[in-house]
Amino acid sequence: MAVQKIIQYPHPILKSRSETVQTIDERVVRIIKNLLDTLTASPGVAIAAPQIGEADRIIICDVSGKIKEKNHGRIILVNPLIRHREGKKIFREGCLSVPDYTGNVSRADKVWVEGLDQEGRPIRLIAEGFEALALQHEIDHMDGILFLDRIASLSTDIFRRKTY
Amino acid sequence: MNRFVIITAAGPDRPGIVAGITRVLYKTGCNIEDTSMTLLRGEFAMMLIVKLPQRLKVQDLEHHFKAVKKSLGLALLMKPLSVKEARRNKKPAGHPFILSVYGSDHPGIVYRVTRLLTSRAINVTDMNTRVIGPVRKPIYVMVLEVEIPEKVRIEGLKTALRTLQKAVKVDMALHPVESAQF
Repeated sequence: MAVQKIIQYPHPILKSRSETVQTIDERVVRIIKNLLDTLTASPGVAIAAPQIGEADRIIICDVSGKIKEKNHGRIILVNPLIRHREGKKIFREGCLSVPDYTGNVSRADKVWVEGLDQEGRPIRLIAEGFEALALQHEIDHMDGILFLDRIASLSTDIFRRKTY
Repeated sequence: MNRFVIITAAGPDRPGIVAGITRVLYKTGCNIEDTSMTLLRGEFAMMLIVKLPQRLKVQDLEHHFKAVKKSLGLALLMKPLSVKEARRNKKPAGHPFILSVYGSDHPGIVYRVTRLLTSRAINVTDMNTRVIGPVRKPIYVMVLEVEIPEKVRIEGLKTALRTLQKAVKVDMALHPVESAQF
């Protein structure tokens, strides 16, 4: 159990669909521990299993060190799923697996998420704002979707004239 | 020996400008690296950092552009860059902030704002300005992305900007670039 190397694009695992976790066995527990260690040692606020080379549907998110707004602290989610989305927010995102680049990404402002905790018990939560963005970013990793697939606008096109 | 070149070009907008330029680069074995291109009014303006292949001189590349320059009505300029000048991942000189400035259009807005920034060693990394609104009462809007060095006190800077705001008769807002690495 240790800090793992963060896999970077163009590694194919980042563009692949991860497998649903069937049982929370020793292997899954080890992946969760490695994700926690790796996230703690990284500048990011969330991490997904494929980013450490494991094609399993597991994410960890902890925005408590980054924002003051209400949040759920450390969230460990196995087989995460977004049940419902509301609102829209454009935010400049980066990804540990795509170094040196950020882009304006459009996501829901509020999400209803469910999954299992590390003991296999069902979890349901409603996340808003920054935490909701982080969760959506990580859940995208489960299906091989990167923020680069969701760029909404160029950072320099604030004034792009719109035709109504 | 310079192995990179930065090309700046502009010409009347129409479909095919990027293809026209990059066709020449492809045919001559150049590799396109970082670029920024945008439409300003009716002019499409381009900046491209290009890596030259072995044995291709900048003058030769200019020659290869002759035909496309003429057919697209482009103004084109090439500046050779050394490997060091073209290197990637330059460490940022500070924290990224967005400064928006807007008000009735009159000469001097850009100069007086950027003069204040430069006096505090604040670097402009990206900038857009537009004249908007009715022709008889134009509004000037300017958005700058800047790098504020660690040693600059944000409160002090905001006070200076407020003073300038009154003198130049514009409105301003300064806020950190909201971004996160997930």
